[in-house]
Amino acid sequence: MSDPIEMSQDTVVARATPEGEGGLAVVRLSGPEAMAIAARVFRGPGFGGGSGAGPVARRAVYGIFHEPIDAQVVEDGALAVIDEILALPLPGPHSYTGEDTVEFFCHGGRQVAALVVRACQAAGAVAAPPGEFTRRAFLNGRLTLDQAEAVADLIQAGSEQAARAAVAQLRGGLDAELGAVEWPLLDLLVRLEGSLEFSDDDDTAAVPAAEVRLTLEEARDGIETLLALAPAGRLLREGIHVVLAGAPNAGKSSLFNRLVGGERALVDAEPGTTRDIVTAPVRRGGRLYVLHDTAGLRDTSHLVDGAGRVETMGIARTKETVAQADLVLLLAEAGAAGGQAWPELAAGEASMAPAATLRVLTKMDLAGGGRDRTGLAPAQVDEKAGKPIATSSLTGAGVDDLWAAIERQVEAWRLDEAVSLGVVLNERHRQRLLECRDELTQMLALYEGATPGDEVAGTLLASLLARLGEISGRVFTEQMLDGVFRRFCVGK
Amino acid sequence: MVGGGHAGIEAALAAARLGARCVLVTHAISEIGRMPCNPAIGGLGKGHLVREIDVLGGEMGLAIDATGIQFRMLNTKKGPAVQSPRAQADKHAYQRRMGEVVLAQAGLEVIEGDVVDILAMPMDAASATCAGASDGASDGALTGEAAPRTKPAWRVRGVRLADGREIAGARVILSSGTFMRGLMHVGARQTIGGREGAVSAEGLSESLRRLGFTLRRLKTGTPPRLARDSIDFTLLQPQPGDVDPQPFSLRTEVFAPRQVDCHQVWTNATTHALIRANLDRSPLYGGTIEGQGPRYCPSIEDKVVRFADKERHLLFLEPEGRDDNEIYVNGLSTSLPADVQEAMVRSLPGLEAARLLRYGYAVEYDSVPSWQIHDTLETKPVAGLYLAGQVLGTSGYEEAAAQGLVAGVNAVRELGGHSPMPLSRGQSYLGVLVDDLVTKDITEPYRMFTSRAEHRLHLRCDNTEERLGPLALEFGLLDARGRRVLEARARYVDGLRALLAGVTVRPPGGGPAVVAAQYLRFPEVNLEGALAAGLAADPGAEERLHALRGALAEAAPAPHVRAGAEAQVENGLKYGGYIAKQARLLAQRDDLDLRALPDDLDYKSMSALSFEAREKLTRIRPATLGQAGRIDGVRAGDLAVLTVFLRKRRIVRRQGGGDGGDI
Repeated sequence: MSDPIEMSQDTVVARATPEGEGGLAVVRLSGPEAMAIAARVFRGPGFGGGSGAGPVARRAVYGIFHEPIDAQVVEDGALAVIDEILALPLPGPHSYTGEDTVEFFCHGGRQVAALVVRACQAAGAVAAPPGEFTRRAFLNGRLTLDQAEAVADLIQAGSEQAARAAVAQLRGGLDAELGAVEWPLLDLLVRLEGSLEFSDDDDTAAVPAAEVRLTLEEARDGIETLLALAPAGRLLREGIHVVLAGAPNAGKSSLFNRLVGGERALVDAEPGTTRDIVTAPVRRGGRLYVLHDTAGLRDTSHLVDGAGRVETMGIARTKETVAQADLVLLLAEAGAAGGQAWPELAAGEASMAPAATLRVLTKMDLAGGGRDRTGLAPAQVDEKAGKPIATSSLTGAGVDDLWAAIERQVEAWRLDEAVSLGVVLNERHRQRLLECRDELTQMLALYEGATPGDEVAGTLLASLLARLGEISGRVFTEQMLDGVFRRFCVGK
Repeated sequence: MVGGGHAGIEAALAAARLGARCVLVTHAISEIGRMPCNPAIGGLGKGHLVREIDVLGGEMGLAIDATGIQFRMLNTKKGPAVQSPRAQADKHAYQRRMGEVVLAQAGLEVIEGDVVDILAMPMDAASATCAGASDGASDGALTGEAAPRTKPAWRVRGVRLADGREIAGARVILSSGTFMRGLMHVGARQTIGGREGAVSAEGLSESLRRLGFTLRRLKTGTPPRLARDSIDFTLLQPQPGDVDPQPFSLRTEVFAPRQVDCHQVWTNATTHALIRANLDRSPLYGGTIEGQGPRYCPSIEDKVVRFADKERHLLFLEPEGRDDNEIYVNGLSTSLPADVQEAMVRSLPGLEAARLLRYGYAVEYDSVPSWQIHDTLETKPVAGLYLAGQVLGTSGYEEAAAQGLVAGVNAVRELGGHSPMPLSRGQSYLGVLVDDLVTKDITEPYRMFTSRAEHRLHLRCDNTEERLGPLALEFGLLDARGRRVLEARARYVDGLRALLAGVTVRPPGGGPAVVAAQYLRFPEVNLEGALAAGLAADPGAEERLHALRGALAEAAPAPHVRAGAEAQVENGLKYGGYIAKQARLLAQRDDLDLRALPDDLDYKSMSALSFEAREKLTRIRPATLGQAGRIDGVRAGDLAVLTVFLRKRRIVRRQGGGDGGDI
């Protein structure tokens, strides 16, 4: 049942254009019953009670969209009209999904579109889950895997930046970057094979081992560079996970609300108010951040049973969330009595990105006289970690500084580079590249000992290129021979 | 069998030896086994093919061993996997011998004649009445030009000769070489014919077209031949054969060739100036020739134009026979006019007074692009018709002979209801050749190279017996003597391996004791050294080795059998680590070779495939997912689409729905 390839026979309906106010909204109705369902909610040339000829394929018609005929009480042939709209019948397989499809073009934004979707459901269609149209399009062979993946990324794209990257991927950014790794290796292969196949010709000198090593090292570096962009791919697709952590009552929820810009998390002066993870998306500078507010980290053994257990569970979840974080904000109250120490965290092991931490002082508004101007109590001074960012959630002071620090950190992850190169690696690409990198490392290890024969190096190199070719689709044998003939005057 | 060249010979002999009643039709019996171009057998990659043909019972290796006049192992400075034997033939002796073998073969009748028509009946009639006699192929009612067919439209029933005779045949193997609409060029002069002094086969191209085949024009060339007695060899650098020449064939018993020298000569500035001044008279540059020629065998015009900065090119003077007055100028393939050829030759040192016995020429001919055949070499449009050799767009005697053998064996197997030869890229160059033919879009004459084989380190000359011997025995391709030698060799190899794995030696340079097989893998150790160390460590080993060698010598006295077996053991161990690693890597991809793609897939309608993949898959129609993946332009994403499609189709079928073919 849960086989993703199993085809659903349902006819589905959903908005096909993004949520948003105003403008034009397209509602797509797709599946074996699409034409029949449309006929029950739409009256226009070829539809409903009009001519018996049925709709003309791929010709948009203007008509009346109404509640389903069998769902309303018909009075004098009157219809419960929803709106006057355009309908475009697209019989399969020449539609986005490859199935029979009717697309309704509704003016007036989400209100009308929602009514149209509901009427189609009342007439027998099922609400389409997100990505369903693309899934059907792929299964019906209307999209390539790469396109389907990129479209899926687009659908999930929480930010403009992710959307731009998905579009660039469609245009073949990864392909070009892979080519930059492949071509020098191919050139080396040409020279190795040239000296093997035509050793009787005077032209084909053997390739010095040092040159082989250099080329292999450069290729490995090139693959490393691509792999370094792999975290960027995930950060673009899923957003950047920022976790706020600190002792109870360190002001996590207040800062969280400041950063999110609303009253999402419950704030109370009583320590331990937040017992579960509160999450909110934030779009900023074209990027998607996912902020997580967590339970405070403290020893709960002194607490009485019920409350303590709940809070202990909360702390366990905090640790889990921190482990998945891309960026952890470590919070401590500015100059609290005796100074709140920075919490100890083991962060980021499960994450593909190296988790980074930023240290943040809170409640600077309370840090009055008698204390250091930085707001740091002696226990909070850590020469190695540098100066923490001082904030006040009450006044909003320092919040912009914090965002700037977050953005500086994110820049180090080269999201912009990945977007401009159009290199958004998925897991499939990443695995292949890891294999190729290891392969290159092993080949280089061979050159540490007795230099392997050219026939061995050529064979290993050809198999490496074949693996890279599984991503790029290039088959190198003929290109290699072509290179040999172009480069050397060989043959008799 | 149509054609008495290297493909036709192996096809006819293999089929007759398997017990089929065969007819070989050739335009002249005296021409059977002729070498119209280079008087040599073997070469890099090609020598591997000859060894494989030999183990599978073919004739080529025996013939060159008996008639060769110079034997060399090529690439001895490189690793053993890329070393390959090559021999100069006495081409008249070679041709004579092949003619005798063919004429003496029981079950094989040889007829002189020109085949002008392939007779076939429509498949419907063929299945209705197997003895269908309607004059299918030539009744003119056929129009079926070429939407790619998934099922054959025709069944072959024989051939018709120019004089009107018809020869019935349940299976027909066509290996007509360069003869189909052959057109020779020497300068501006054009002659119709497949090669010098021979007519061309004019009707065949039209016959194939009517049966739905697409044809493609190819081109190849040959250099001039000089009179030996007009050359001053004292000015030339001799190139002798190997001091210790080795035969090709496992079955050769007596081998003591009297070797002759070849000679080297370099072109010079005068030669190049002559060529440049006369380029407009070359049909290659005048645009007269439309066919695509091979890049690996460029004409001298090509070399001078494309590598303008090279001051000289190396040529080899190769005798065409031990006592023959004809000398082949290897490297000087040309289609320039006769007077330029003469001036060109006479610009070379030692050749100032050389006489040209024959001029070089280019030949254009029709070939059948090989995406129209299955991996059995049976054609897709015409059941029972097999193609082999140059007609399929390959070049070289060895490539042709290899295909002839495969076609001959498969035709007889199929006739008897048996499975075809299982050939794979991992087991043989034959497998590489056939897979390349059915997978690649071959636009120039195809020649074997070792770099075409991803399993190159395993596909060595020295282990051909181990790779293909079991197949030869299972299919009954060897005579009693061949079987005896093969089995004795295999026992010796096993015994030697056991011996090396069973004694422990202490490396002289220090270090821990290791078994001799492991010691042999040290870079500086060879088999002799490992055996010596083994014998020193274990007194009983010497006796065992002696017994092994005695048993081998009794069944296979020729010394090269033992030398080959020992090279196999040594090289197998030396390369062992790499071979295992390659095998692991490639096994992942080989899984895809087990996943069949149905015949009736309509790739054109699968818009999820890239445009290029759709177009190529439609034309090539790969048999498996693995083969699809080897097609240039088919990406992993396309394979994923096909995988999903196949699964979906299975599910739909299981649910009793439609055929799922609506992608």
